[in-house]
Amino acid sequence: MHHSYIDSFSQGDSPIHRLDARAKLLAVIAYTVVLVSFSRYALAVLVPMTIAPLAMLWLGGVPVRFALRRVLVLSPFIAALCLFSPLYDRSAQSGFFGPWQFTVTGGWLSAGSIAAKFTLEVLAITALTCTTPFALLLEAMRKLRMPKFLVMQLGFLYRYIFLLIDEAMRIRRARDFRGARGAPLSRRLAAAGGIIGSLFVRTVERSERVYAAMCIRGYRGEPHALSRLHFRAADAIFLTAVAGYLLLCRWGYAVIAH
Amino acid sequence: MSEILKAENLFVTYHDGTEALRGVSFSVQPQERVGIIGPNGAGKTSLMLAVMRGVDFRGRIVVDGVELSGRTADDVRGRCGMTFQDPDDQLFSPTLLDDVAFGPLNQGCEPHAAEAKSRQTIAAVGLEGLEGRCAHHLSGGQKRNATLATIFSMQVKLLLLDEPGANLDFRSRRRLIDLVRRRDEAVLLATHDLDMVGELCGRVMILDSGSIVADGAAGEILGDSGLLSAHGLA
Repeated sequence: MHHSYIDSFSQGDSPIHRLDARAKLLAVIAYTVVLVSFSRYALAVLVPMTIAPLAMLWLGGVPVRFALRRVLVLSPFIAALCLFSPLYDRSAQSGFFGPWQFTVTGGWLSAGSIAAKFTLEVLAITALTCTTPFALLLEAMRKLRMPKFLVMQLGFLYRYIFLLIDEAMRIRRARDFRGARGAPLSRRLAAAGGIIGSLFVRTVERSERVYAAMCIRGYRGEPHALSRLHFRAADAIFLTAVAGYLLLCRWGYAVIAH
Repeated sequence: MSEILKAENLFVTYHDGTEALRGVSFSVQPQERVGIIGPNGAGKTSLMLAVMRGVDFRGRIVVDGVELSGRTADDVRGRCGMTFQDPDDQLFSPTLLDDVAFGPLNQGCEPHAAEAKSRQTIAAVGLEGLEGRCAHHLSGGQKRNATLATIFSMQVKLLLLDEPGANLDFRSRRRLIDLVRRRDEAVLLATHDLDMVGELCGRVMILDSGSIVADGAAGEILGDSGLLSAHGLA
């Protein structure tokens, strides 16, 4: 079965692909910190923040349309937050967009801000994951001293999530071939419960087998990994450029806010 | 010549009371290739897991002169390599290279040496160029060869292969047989594929209901249709 993989396009050979995974990861973390530091009513200031992820996507040869599709796929997670925001915050706020001034409730502004920040963050993460093979991203996390078992679990997630999806699809197909589609809703719901239970049991059993396979190959609770990252001058230049850009965005916002 | 593997009076009983092995005793000589055949549920996988201390057992197992116990399990695992029935259980790392390097790194190999050794092993099993691939992107035959690479890179003395030919097409199966035939290690091969056993093994054991019911030269056992059909193998 075919899936949209987390790190599609990551095997390319662009200037962004060639950067050290640590540099890209640090850049995205710094970008995230600056992004969330803006006030929830600040919308205009987010415009210059679009430059970095779009530039990374463009230089990395990742179609923006592909990245926007990811935003769309993940948007239900944020939609509820955006929809309810106008109901909770009814304070009047003056907004500026270039030469135009307008007055809206704070809820609408914060809803727009949440949606914009979410979009930018997904674009930044997509730019990172689509220009860095996942194995190198994991290695970067290890090198940056992220908790080793968390990194290991991310590795397993990447390895087994599609296998799990495949299993779920096979079970669902087997159910459908036996006429489950025409069954009453109550029976279909019961079948769905059965599928989830079956997947859970299979996952637990697989995890036991995987752990046995690890132990058999000498695993003693201490994860070891290959070392394939090389920090070069280009990475230092990239990080400096990103830091300068982020400081400019943040400083520009501070000037506008006062 | 001393045995590479010696099992004496081996019993494996699972938590639900199922007796997977009942008093199994046998030995394997260095470089000897032994086929274990038997119907489903005969205890083939349990026997292999017991040798790797993947299940609790009663009895005595000695691998390359080291008696298997909780204390010596790591030592014994450094001398044997086992492949599982389902390659997806064996290939758990984000890339093929990481998977093949997993064993050598755990054996204390330096990362650059482990990488060099792994690349060499990957090339030897015909998967050169696929080092950066995730196992999910490999075909069934490639996955099987990759599982072999994960244990070949550890430079062990005994290979335990559990159904290595399952779900393989003719060409992939042929390639797998050639790969195993070229190895110097002793091999314990559990399979339903009698032709593969005939091609690879000089000796065959029939395991049924947790006991060894026949042990002898491959030609002799595989040629005894009465014996094979009595144990659901023909």
